[in-house]
Amino acid sequence: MGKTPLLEIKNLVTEFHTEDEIIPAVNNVSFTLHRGETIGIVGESGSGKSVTSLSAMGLIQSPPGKIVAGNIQLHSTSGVVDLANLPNSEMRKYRGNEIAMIFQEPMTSLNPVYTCGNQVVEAIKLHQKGGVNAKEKALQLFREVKLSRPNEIFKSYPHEISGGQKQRVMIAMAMSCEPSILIADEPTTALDVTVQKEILELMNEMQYKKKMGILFITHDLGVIAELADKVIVMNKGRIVESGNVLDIFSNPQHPYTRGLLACRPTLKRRLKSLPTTSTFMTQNNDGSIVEITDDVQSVLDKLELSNEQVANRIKHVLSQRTILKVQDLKTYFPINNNFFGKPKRWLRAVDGVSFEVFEGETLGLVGESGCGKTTLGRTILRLIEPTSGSIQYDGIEITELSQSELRKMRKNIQIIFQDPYSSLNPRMTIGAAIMEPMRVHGIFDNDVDRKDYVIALLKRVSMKEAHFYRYPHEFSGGQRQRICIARALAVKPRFIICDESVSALDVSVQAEVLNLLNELRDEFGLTYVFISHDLSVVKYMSDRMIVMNKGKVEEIGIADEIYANPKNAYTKKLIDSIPKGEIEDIKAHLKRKEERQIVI
Amino acid sequence: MFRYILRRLFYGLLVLFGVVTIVFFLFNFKQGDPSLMLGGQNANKEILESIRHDLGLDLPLLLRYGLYLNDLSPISVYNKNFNNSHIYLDSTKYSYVKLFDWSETRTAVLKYPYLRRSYSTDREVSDIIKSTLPDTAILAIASIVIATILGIFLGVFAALNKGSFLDNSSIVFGVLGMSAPSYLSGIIIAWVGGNLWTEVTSLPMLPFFFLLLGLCFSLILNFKKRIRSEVKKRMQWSGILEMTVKGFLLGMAIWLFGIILNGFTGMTIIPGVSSYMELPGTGLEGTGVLAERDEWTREYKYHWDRLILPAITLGIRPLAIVMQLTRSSMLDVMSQDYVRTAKAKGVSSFRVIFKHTLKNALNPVVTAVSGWFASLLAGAVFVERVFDWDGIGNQLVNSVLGEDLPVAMGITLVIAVFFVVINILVDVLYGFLDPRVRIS
Repeated sequence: MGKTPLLEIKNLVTEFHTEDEIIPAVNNVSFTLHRGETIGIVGESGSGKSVTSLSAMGLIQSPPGKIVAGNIQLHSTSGVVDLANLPNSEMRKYRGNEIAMIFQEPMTSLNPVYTCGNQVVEAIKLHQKGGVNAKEKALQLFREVKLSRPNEIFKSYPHEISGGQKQRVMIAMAMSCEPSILIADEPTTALDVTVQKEILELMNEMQYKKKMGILFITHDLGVIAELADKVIVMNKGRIVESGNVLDIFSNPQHPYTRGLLACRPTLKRRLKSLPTTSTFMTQNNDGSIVEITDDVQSVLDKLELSNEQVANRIKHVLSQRTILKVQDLKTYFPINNNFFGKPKRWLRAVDGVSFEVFEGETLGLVGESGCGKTTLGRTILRLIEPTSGSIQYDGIEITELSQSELRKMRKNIQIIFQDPYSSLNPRMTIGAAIMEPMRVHGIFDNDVDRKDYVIALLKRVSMKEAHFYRYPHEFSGGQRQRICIARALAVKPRFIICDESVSALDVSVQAEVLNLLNELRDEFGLTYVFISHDLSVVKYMSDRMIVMNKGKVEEIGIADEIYANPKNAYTKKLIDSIPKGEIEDIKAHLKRKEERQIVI
Repeated sequence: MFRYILRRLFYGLLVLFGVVTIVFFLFNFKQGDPSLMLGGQNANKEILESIRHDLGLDLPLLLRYGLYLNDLSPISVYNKNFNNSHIYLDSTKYSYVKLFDWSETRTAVLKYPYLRRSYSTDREVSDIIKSTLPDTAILAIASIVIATILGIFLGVFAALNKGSFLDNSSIVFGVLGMSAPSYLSGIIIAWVGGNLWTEVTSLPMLPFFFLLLGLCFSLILNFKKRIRSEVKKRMQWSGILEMTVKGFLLGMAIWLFGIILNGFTGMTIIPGVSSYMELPGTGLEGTGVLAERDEWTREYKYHWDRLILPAITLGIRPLAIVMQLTRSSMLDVMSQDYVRTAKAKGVSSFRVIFKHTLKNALNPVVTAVSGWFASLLAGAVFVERVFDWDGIGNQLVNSVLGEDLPVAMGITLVIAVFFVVINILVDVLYGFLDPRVRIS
């Protein structure tokens, strides 16, 4: 097949001008997207991957953003245009028409006050002149993106349909004017893995049908492996490596790429700790990269646990005494009240869950959004009151404690939340935030001792003494999560609930935090309940795990055994849906694509 | 939805019952004695006693409360043994439909809520309210319309030009407008508008009107241009000034032309040219009555110009609040993902702002506007007082000063009804604006 270029980006530089500095978000980026090709752009937050795509759409907020140099050449049906130097009124003709975009958050990307149909019809009417029955066309698009009940969805408001359905509506909207280029900015990040799999399949199919060029932006290498032809790896605004997907995965050249690939918790191996990007390279302040080692295999081999070690660990855990015992726990929320405010119908968030946690183990809790895992975690702490059932911590019945007894109990059980940005008070220094719970629980007699302990803790989580007097906004997401961990540890707990504690972090940072959590567990003799939607992370972390679905326990057992031999249909589906990013998967997807092209 | 409204109505009734109770005891516990007011200076003890007996003031407090409730309730009890009294039901008090006999002396009847009669004028309270409410309503509607339209427009404008001089001055105006008490701003506006401008400059209405029109036009034009180009230029003050001056000159020209034309023909061909800003409450006319009856022709003459200053005074505070809310809410919504989606579809900037952003941004504005409308309807006591506007607020003050309890209680109750009804309407409006609120 001859390669027709669709979008050529040459030496693009996009800068953000703030009051005190100029930040080059995209620095000298060049690549070409051809018809029928999928380019995956991978990078961590701040790598400039989203800014690149927004520059191509002309959607950079200005000020502060500005395209300073370079060309973005669009090969449209009417000739070649340079989008970088196009006024807004001209740009509008190409947006949606030649280049369409789908975004990360399907929940917020549709306007809540208009029906889904209305919004798709608007897109159709904008670019198509006369003779088109917009409603018919929209319904047909809905059928194409495999929305069940297209007529009902047409009349529904965005809040009435699920996240996966919303993303389908977004895809339908993007497809409405048959664009030649589709930019997908983390389109599946906010979705459950099973839904993600369906959406990725849909995108593959749409591309094959419409012969589009797709620019797929993601932080998840596993997803890239499922659909990209070419991969571009970005770091701090620059392209560090680009090439064929198979080459990148099987033989990464750049240390940053190696780090990214190695630091994902894989499902196959059992590692002592995860390698991070800093295992392979160090980055100077000016962005230049110094390589440390290029041998990925030997790094991984060194960290791998033998079967014997794994078995010993499990045996050790199972022989410990029970520290937490949950029996037939139920947490219901009222969803429909009658005339006098008495609930008529209940949402069964946690519906009869029983399990035990042994001292010193990590119990993983995995499930899709809405399965009740977070509610379960919070109910154990009685941050949410249970409807019925029993929770015994160390022989004490938590459900029967009075408020003051409960406060004392909370010294022993701590929780680390998902969002490190909103779980720290922005008006409190780091030191004050960590010392506050210590004062409440009377740990140490005076603030001098407390401060010494906090500084020791900060150093333990790889922060500096000087950070004691800083405010949360001065830190990155990973650093904040470390601070949250230090805060949880400050009251010397024995039991910690990690509620999606690493979900908001970049992969390499995630690996660092996971390693830290594991080290701390052994050092302080902690017990974890580790809650996450990400099965590979849960499997890496935990000794035993629970798979939850719709408020009920689907499967409980030793993590490795569940993964190797899932007994339950739901667990199987969950494991199958994870984009694993193995070489075989890439080969399989490239082969599928080739077969399709032969059919054409 | 219907069930929801029904439930809200039920709660509303409970609120009203609470208000009746509180208002009744508040007014009846107080030290004053209406009989002293009615009897006058020369009344002796017997006369005062008989007045008190007539008004039922000698009865125990709880019994009086019960009788008042009986008067208010649509289904009430009637006692044949009492005639021509203010307390119990009698055939002359109001019209009713007989339901059934309760006992030998008592009958249950169906009627409109009865608010009793004024102590001082013996007029029915419902009559007094009926005659003063339209003036208050007109004033409230005028000021809320000014506040809403101008406030949303200025708020959108400020949000689109965030950080500009205009935006900053709108914030200053907002703070000033919200914090200035209405009796102060009322007096200043009355003085400036009715006194300074009329007596010193003899400013005619028409050029003034065109001056404002010119300003508005220039803002709109500038606004559209800025949206189109999307280049963040500074506000073009020269352009605004130019349009304003042009508008003013045009107004002056029409005014002169009108005076000459009217003068030559002796007819009012162009209206308004001779209407100076003669305004009430400023010593110029001394009354704020909107519709005045001509003594000779017995016809009502409407003085719409008297509405301008009180409406502006009353509108300033809601205007400032609506503007601030629109501004912050617009800024919030403009950074939402769905606005970016709309832009990515290729929707024009004008449509992005008015279709995708504004409708989402209006929710807090609706709350503010409706809340203010209810309280404006409740009678802007200070403003009506300053401009001597013949509305319920003024009436309420007069009745409290004159210890005219039935009038004071009646007006307070009507105000409470307004609040309840408007709150229910707002909830329905919410559902219309934001489908997410449209729950069962």
